[in-house]
Parts: sequence; structure tokens; C-alpha cells
Amino acid sequence: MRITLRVYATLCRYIPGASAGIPLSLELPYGATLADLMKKMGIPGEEVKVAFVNGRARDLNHVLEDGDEAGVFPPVGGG
Amino acid sequence: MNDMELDVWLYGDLARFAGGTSGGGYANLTVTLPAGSTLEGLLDSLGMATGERGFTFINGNLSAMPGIQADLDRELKHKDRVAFFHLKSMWPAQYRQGASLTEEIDEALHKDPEQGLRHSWTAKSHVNREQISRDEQLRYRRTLMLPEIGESGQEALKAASVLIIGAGGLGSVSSLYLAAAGVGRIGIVDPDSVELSNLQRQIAHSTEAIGTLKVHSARERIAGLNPHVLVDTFNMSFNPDNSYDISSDYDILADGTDNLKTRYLINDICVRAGKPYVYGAVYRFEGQVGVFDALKGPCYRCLFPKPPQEDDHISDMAEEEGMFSVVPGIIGTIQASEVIKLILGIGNSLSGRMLLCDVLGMTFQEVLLSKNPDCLSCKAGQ
Repeated sequence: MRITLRVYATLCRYIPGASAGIPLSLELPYGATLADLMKKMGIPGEEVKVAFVNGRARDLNHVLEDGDEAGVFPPVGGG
Repeated sequence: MNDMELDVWLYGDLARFAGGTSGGGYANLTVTLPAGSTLEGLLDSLGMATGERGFTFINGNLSAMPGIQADLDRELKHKDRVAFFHLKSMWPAQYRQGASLTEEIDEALHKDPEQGLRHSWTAKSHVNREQISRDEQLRYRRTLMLPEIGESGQEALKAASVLIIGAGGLGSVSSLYLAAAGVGRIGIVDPDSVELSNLQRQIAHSTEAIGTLKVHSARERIAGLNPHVLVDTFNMSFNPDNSYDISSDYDILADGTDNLKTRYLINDICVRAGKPYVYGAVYRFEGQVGVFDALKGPCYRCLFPKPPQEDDHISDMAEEEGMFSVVPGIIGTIQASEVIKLILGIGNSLSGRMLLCDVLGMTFQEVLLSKNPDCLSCKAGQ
């Protein structure tokens, strides 16, 4: 199945060429979860982050579906 | 020599100086001392070091506060009522409303107004409400024309108080818009001085202000923008020792800090006090903004239960990784908008939602958030 992923802030460093907020298109096996997606993208499990699917925050066990728009963002510290 | 009786009230932890007559969170006792005794003599008789106490009232007039103990030589009179609050006590209600002062502390504050935590006494005493009312009618005319706000909304803004933690990029913008909009009292917390490298984004400060305290620079700018706003300045870091006392006097807390530790602290204070936390954070070309109101939705810890281990690295991003000038402006302006809406009770707040802004692609992503049933902060705040 095909999903899109948006990454933000410091998490962009794990994905060469990624720009904040710009969707990346990805192929994943059916039944893949957000945790699988993080693993595929090389985003470490211990990295503090919030993942979302179709505009709603979801835990990493959430099962993705074809066409889903996923995203992940970390806390940022600047002010 | 005749003796005199004093009506002494000891609040919070200070109740232990009542010698076993303490009940609950305070103690009330009658102390007999020789006529002519001073407040210092009263402290001696109680066995309380002067540094143990915080706010002190003599017959309802503020006589001392943390850092200013101008009342030690004050001669007490028969039947005087003396109230001592602990350093960590919540600020007494009468102080929050603007306490009357004893002559000694009034003099001390006027000699060196930077000694105290708060600096609004002088401004308050010089207010001419009728004149302000006419000025304000004109000043806020465009706001008053909006039926969603109107005169009662403007009055609500004037009666409101907002604490802004950090007078950097975010705090510069949110404080100026809140002042322009007529929020009646704004507190600003920041330990730093203005540096040249701040000025590409921290628009409350000017080139002339380099080297001066940010809280003072921001106060001057706000005074120039809207003299009807009372500004309290706290030239200190917002830390676990002072955060409760500083924030207890405000309705809403707005984020302008530059590190994650302080954000967790602001969140926990807000959850505990049931106050909204208007969150904003920036990173290079990106920003995040939302409202954490644990009474209605998730808090910051519901999203990020534990601070990242590399918090020190994440702190001070502007210095390490750069910052696009206008990002704090965009996020700080949205924060100010959320604060005003919360005060007025209009529109849909960002509670339960986070906006992720990317200025390079100029995209806004809304993320709906849920309360985390395992959130330790929310559980502790219940």
C-alpha cells in the first residue's frame, strides 16, 4: 500500500533530503503500523515524538491503510 | 513598662512557630510583648528568622515581601494584627488585588523599585480611571466595533492578567499584541539581557536596549505602545522554586521560553492550578502552537510524557541551528490570538489541537490531540 509521510523539525535529520512538512510517498506492506513506518524510516524508537494519521494523533500500534497521510513531530525547544 | 498584645497569624509552614497551637494550614495566637517592641522583637519572640517569612501584613498593609524586609524596625502597637506568610505560600488574595503598603515598604520600593518581584504599584497609584476610559474608547475603537467583543469584551481584557515566560522571539510578539489589545496586566519573566544577535527576531527590543535587561526593555516598549497596561517584571529564570509564586497571580500562562525543561514546568504548574497554557515553540523555519488546558483536553505531558534526554541539546536552538526571523512572529501572534480568545470566550480555541507551521513550504498542519489516560501530570492535577 502507498502512504505519505510528513516529518518535522529535528526528525528530518533521519531522512536524507526530507524537508519539514513536505510529504514523502512510501510503499508499505498491508497491515503495517506506525511503528513499522518509523522503523522503515530509521527514526529511533526512543526518540520523543507524536505520530498522526489523517490529522489525528495516534499511538505507534495504529494500523495504517492505503492512502493514509501520516506525520510525525518531536517537541521543539526554541522560543 | 506596660505590655501590649499582638494578634499574630502564621500561614503555611510558618504555623510551626506557634508552639503547638497550630491547626491546619495556619495558626493564630496572641503574643504579649513589652510596649514599644518592634517587628524584629516579635520575630525573636516567635523564634522565626526573618528570612523564613515571605509576604507580611500589619493591619492589612503589606510591610514586607521576599527580598524587602523594611519593617524590622517598625514599632508595633497594642492590638496590631500581624500576618506572616511563608516564602512558598500562594500569594495572598489582598496582595493580588493590589495591597495597601506600610510607609516603610512604600519608601523602600520607591527608593529602588527593582528590589521587588512586582513593579506595578507606582503605575497603579497614578491611574486616572476617567481619563483612561475616554482614551481607551478611542484607542480600542476598532475592537469595540466588533460585536463579538464590544465594550464588555474590552472590559474583560482589561481585567485579565497574562504571564509570559520568556521575552525572546515569541514573548516579544505575544506581549506587544496582548498589550496593544488592552490586556490589563502582563507579567514578563526572563533572566537575560538584550544582545545584538537577538534583534533579528526579538522585536520588543531595540538597538539602544542592548545590554539592558530584557524584562525592562520589553516593559519600556509596552509602555510606549499602551500606557494603560500594567507590566510586572521578573528578572529571573522561571524555575521550580519560584514558578508557583510568580504564576499564581495570573489567569493564563503564555510560552516564550527557549528550552523544554521550562515548558514541562509551565505545563505542570498550569495543570495543577487549572489554568490554560498557551504553548508556542519554534525551530529554524518551523513552529508549533497550541493550547493545553487540562480541564478540557490534553496537556503537554499527554503528548510528550518525558523530556528528551538531549534536552540540553534541544535548548537554545536559535544559537545552534539558526532561526528564520519571522517564525517567532507568526507563532507568537497566534499565541496572542489564542490568549485573547480564551479571555473573551469566543471562537474555537486550539485546546486539543496542535498547529504545525512550516514557513518554507508555507504549510499549516492541524493535528487533533487526545488526553492521555496515563498522563502523570493530569493524574496529579485531579
